[in-house]
Amino acid sequence: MSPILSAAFVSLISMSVIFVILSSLIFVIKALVKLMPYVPPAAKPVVSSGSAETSEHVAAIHSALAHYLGKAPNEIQITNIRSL
Amino acid sequence: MESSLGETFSKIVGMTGFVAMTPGHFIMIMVACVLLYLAIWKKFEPLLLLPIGFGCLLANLPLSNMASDAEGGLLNIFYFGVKHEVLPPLVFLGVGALTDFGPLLANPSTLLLGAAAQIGIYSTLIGAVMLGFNLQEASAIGIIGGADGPTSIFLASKLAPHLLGPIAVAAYSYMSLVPLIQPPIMRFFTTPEERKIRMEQLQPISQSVKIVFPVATTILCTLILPGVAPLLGMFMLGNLFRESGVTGRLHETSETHLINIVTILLALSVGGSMTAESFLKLETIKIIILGLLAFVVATSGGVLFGKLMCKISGGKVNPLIGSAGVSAVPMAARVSQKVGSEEDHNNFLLMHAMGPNVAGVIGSAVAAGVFVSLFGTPDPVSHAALQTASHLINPLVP
Repeated sequence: MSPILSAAFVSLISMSVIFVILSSLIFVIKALVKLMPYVPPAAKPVVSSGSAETSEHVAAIHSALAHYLGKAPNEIQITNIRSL
Repeated sequence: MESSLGETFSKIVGMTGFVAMTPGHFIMIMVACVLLYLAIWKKFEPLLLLPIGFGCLLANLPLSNMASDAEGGLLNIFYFGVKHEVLPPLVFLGVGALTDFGPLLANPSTLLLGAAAQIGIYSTLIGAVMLGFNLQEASAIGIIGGADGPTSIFLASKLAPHLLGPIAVAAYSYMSLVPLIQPPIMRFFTTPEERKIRMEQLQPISQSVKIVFPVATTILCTLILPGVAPLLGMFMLGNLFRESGVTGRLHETSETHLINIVTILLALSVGGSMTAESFLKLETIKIIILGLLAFVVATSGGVLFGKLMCKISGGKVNPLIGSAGVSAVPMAARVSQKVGSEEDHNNFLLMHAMGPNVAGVIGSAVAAGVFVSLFGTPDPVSHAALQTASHLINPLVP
């Protein structure tokens, strides 16, 4: 077999091995995610020491923070709001 | 007395490096200075090119014997860490401790982009064979397309130690040039509409998945391909330090002090291998050209596979993230973000590109494992173990 043909053969086999291994990992990840789904931490009640905060204010702050931090809203918990 | 003084003077002059200086030494000192210039003033991978450049300088100062194997040169002693596969896996340990698999776990199909970008390795392998390298040398050169310095060093030290210097320099130089090499290729293969595609926000992943993933990957990959164990095993161990939450000190050490110390030793020993005899050859020019080919084809492969995924998913995948499959973490992912934001300032591709970027690291480690399995010399210990096992099994066979 000529060296170039050997190289092409090795390349074909190696690429196939890489795709097989990484495809197997996709299935492993999907299985893991299914077996151990993400559970958002239980939200603690919002403790408000001020008087003017309403649920709309909290929602607006929550949304603005999530947008600013580039996170999903369910990844953020507001546990305390204090009037300044 | 006068003749004695003259003799002493001429003896001292004869002992200086100037007398022993050859044109080869001079050229290599110039090469070292160019590397130092690129590292310090042009900021091209300074953490690596600076010690590589200085190692090259020390190795080529005549009579310093820094890289001499006969005289027990300091750089040659450091080189034992490369030769005996200690330093590159330790760098992988640190990289694993720094890596967040979250984006990859949230969108596992991006692993395929990391696989597709490895096409650069194989096109370069074929190109290297066409240019007269044997298969072992061609494999070591091809892995430059994996855009992963420690993997390139690991494989070159195993399959083509005489080419280690040029391969390492080509790999790190082109990695530093990723922001210049990739964007024109990415723009060439994609339309403005494709570059504007916004991808869905990644779903959060449970901590348990992040902990189990490195263990499961190590078991699966090492059972399929044992040659991948040194690099992938250390990579996953570093990540387990990070995600387990119970090894804070080990995690902190791996991602800071350990990786820094090992990088110094690794880069100095690579620089020390760049002697005039090993570097000033026609092969070096060929390797530099092949390295560029590797990066170009790898980027093209990633982007084209990204386009394919875009079509299959009905336009949900931005093809630009495919280019991040070449590894070069996190620079390639940043390039995807930058090129995407040129079309749409509010398009945030960085986290999406980190998936294929990390997949590229796994992909190039697997590619190296395949080459080690195919062309690596059998490990004497494993060979002895196999012989013992066959002696034990044979009597049982009727």
